[in-house]
Amino acid sequence: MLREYAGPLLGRGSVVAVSETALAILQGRFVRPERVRPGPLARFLARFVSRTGSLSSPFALQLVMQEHGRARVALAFLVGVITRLLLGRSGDLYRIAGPQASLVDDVTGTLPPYDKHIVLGPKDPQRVVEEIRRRTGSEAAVIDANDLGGVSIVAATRGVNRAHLREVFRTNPWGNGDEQTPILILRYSTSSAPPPRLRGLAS
Amino acid sequence: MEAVLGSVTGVLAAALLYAAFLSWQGDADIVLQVENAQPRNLTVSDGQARFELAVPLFNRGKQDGMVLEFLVRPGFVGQLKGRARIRAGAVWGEDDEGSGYWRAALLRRREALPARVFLEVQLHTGDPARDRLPAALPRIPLAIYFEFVGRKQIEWRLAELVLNPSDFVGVGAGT
Repeated sequence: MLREYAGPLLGRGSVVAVSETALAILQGRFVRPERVRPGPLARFLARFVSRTGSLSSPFALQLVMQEHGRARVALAFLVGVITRLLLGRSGDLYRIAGPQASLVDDVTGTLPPYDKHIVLGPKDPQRVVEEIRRRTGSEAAVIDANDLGGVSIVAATRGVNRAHLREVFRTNPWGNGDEQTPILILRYSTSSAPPPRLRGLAS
Repeated sequence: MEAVLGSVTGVLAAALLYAAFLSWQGDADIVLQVENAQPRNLTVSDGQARFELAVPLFNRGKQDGMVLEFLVRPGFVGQLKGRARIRAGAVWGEDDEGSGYWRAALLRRREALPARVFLEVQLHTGDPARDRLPAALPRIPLAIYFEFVGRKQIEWRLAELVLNPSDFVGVGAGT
């Protein structure tokens, strides 16, 4: 697919950035909530997540439990509550529960036709970026970015300058609306790293 | 004995506390306010009338809710049976007008979204009433079934709406 849509832009000196949601959808990692049966633990724990988080849905939480195990997720909740109350630290729940906890998108979190689906994070993203590099010669990264300035590099090949990539995606050139941009190619004006500036962005 | 009593009391207290928390937290509670339905548009062309109503979907609950599906179908159409082709649907975004796709909608608590319910009636060629649409049409009942999900569970709700063509007098683009 990359060759078909971005063939002439690929090769040494460019970085292929792939949206984590687009990759997950390509891997078939989406499911309608009607097909998920949340267990008592998911129903119980989801009650304690802020309503803006995807894990506040027992359906999304159940899927994360199926990925990482109920015990691990339950432990993450326990530690998360303790460190938040005692140390005032947030985010331990997502750090301990496993990568899917922060990557999962609840319904309405993705564009149509997947707006009625829960979309999990991609499977084996590191393997995917290595494969892209092997086949195209480009460095590659899987990125989760949003319009609020949040950037998470889910996986990247060794040649990727992560700090620079984070800076580029802080303004979210993909967009969170109807832009529907699954791939972004970064090409640098010189082959030296770190690159001084971007020459062009293409999707 | 005291230990047993203490344990039972503890369990009961925890259960009561959790029940109180659930009650305080609440859930999404989305209703279709059919009583506030407003005629929005009427177009008549070549024996076909298209009626469009704005009907508020309102989240009166304490939590956000997401409306995943919104299905509309005409009820029994009485005298129109066999004389007309009838199609009903709903959208909420301008972009989806052509396709009729119901895009999943996030409704924050106390937020309303105007669902645009439409009904198209096409009378068969030769029907004497074709020239005086929509005055020739009777009241048409619509059954609306919508699905939403909140914090707790997926819920389907039924709402009933009666489309009265006479309410559309002076509304929209006309013939």
